[in-house]
Amino acid sequence: MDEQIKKEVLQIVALLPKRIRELLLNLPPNLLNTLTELRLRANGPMLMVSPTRSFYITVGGKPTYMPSEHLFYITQHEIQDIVTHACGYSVHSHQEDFKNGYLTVTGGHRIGLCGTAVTENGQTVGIREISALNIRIAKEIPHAAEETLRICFQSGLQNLLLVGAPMSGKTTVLRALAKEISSGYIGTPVKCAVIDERGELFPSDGSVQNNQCTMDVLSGYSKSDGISLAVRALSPDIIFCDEIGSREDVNAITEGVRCGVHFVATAHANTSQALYQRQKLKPLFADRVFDTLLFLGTKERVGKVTEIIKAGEDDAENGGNPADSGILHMDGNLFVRAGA
Amino acid sequence: MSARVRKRVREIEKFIRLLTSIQRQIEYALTPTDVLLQKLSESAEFRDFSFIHFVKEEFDSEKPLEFAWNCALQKYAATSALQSREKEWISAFSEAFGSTDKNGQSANCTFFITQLEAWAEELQKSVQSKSRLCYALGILSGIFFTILLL
Repeated sequence: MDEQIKKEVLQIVALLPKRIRELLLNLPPNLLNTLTELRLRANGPMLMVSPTRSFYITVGGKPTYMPSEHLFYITQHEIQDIVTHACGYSVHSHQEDFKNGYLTVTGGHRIGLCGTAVTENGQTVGIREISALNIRIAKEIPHAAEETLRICFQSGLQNLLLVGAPMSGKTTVLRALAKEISSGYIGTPVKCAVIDERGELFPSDGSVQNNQCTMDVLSGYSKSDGISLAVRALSPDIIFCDEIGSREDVNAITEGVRCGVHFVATAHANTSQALYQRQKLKPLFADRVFDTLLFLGTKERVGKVTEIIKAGEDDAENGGNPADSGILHMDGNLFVRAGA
Repeated sequence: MSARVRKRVREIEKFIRLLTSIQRQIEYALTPTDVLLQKLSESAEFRDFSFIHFVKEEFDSEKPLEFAWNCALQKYAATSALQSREKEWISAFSEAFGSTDKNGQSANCTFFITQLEAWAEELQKSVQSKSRLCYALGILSGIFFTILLL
């Protein structure tokens, strides 16, 4: 039976101008379905990225690994068309997104914008002359949360930090966890709040379904404001938030935990050492805010747990090397204590 | 003739109110275009305004906003009293609609509203002066016929 093009790929293709759309739809579905990124550059060739390889497309619609003069080039006008289409012909509603340098579109996909910053009093207030786009395709990972649920939520709620490099599936796992926990995974109804700053987790257009009975989605709020509001007004048992990184985020989470709320959050870092070196996140480890840190893999291991650190089992915050003690590495389905 | 001009004035005023509503929605809530069209087409004021329904219909079928707006204007113009200068002006509004930030959108609305208001006022005055003229002509004709009958 012929493979069908996946829904998430079609959502992206629908945003593209006719010339690019037709070229992509002529590619074999099995090739399209593996794509994780589309990189478009004005007056440059289109680069397509999958977990194992990157390739260009020729004007004749053939994939190729080698740059040549016969590659399919993107025009400046097409870049502008994609941006206008992606924000639903409502640039005014996406001012904050332009300021942050990305747009989130139907299905939770993210379009990174590359251009010239517009500044006012030293602050970036927007972007102009957009010259390149990086379209990241949000993938459904089947049973994305299964492993994490088994490791962390068998005996109730806890504070969990999912850590990984870009494209390691942090957001996908977080979304799946929110769905599963709000649907009663731990056996009782759990009041969940999702702070969806960029509208990626549960977009308001309904393109990603959530559990409306027990899940409150605060969309568009900054993480710190959203957390404070949720704690004050929504009495959640657990709060989910993506990509923490600022001092405000850290303070809001620490306050929330002190108020008795549990947190599941994600952070960028490819190793535990890199994570501990992130200055703004350090207070979280010093105060042992998170019970568990889970590291996710990339490429073939995207969305899979590669390393587990339990609070109190490492002494990294006391100056020791976290790789030497208390870290559990994943080896297939077995947990192996490092150095054991 | 006068009835057609009055209809034209009413239509221009309807477009002024439409652009004013768009401006308020954007200024107050940065409402996205799809939500804006939905709200306007359901509002009591514009429920019977076919133009906005045409725009929504075209936009919902994945047409670019400018294209949707102009298609709707063409459909609407078939039964409208608007003249080409007004149609061109209303069409030109769509060039920047949805493609700039809040301030840009507000300025775009104000720019087009101001011109439409000027035309509406000009037409109102012309309707009034024409009715005064007709009224005077009617009286004069009446006096003339009375004199003839006497």
